[in-house]
Amino acid sequence: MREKIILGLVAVAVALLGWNLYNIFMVVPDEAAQGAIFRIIYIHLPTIFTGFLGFLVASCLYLVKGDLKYDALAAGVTEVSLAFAGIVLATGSIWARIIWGVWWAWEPRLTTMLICWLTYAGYLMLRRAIDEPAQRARLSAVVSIFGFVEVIIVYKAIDWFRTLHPQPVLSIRGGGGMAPGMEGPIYWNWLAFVCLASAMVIVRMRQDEISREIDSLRRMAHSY
Amino acid sequence: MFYGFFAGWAIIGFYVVLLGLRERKLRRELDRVRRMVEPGAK
Repeated sequence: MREKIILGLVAVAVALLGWNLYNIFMVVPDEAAQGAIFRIIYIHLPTIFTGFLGFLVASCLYLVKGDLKYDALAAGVTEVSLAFAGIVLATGSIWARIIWGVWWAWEPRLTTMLICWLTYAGYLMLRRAIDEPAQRARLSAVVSIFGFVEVIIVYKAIDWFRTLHPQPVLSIRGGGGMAPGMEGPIYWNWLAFVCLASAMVIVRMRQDEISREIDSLRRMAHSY
Repeated sequence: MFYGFFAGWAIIGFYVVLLGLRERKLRRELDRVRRMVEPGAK
């Protein structure tokens, strides 16, 4: 059953991404000021939405449910979200090199995003350092919530500070800087990435179950 | 632009490969431990 869900999610993601690639490269026109490079937004924004959604889910899971099963799910979601947040940093950097002429600028949006990414990377490292499951779950949940405060700061950074980073362009954030036809593929790509990320989280959860089975078999072997 | 798309897909691809390698390692370990605890095993 789980295999079918993974395959189904991947199939939906591949179909949506294929259709979106056609729209992004063949239908959507170049942006007036930036030219073709603006198309990076179609991977940059959906991946950050996916990453932030994952961080939100991860920070709530264990504290709401208080069950170790949810702690494992939170760890899986965080790991996958971290990969997506890494894409945001990489694609943003490539866009900045073309538009700003530099790979990186220590301005508020970029710096807070990097700190956020490092916080969640620290979360995963912390989990490896603590053996006792309940303590690991509690401390990880605290770090995850601390990390989510960072997510809010990243999101609001372009409103609070004068930054080099472009101002909001999506109509849902009051930007209105894009034609409706140019905005659509961003949301469809987001849906595709959420499907892909969900499939990855299910695989990650299955690996966690195998790890637990190995641990219990080892304990059994030691008790002989 | 293509570098941006390539970087995005490269990171996803790298993570998927990492997941696959981890799964293979875990399954090998599970088989090894199962054989260890099977009745009759030394």
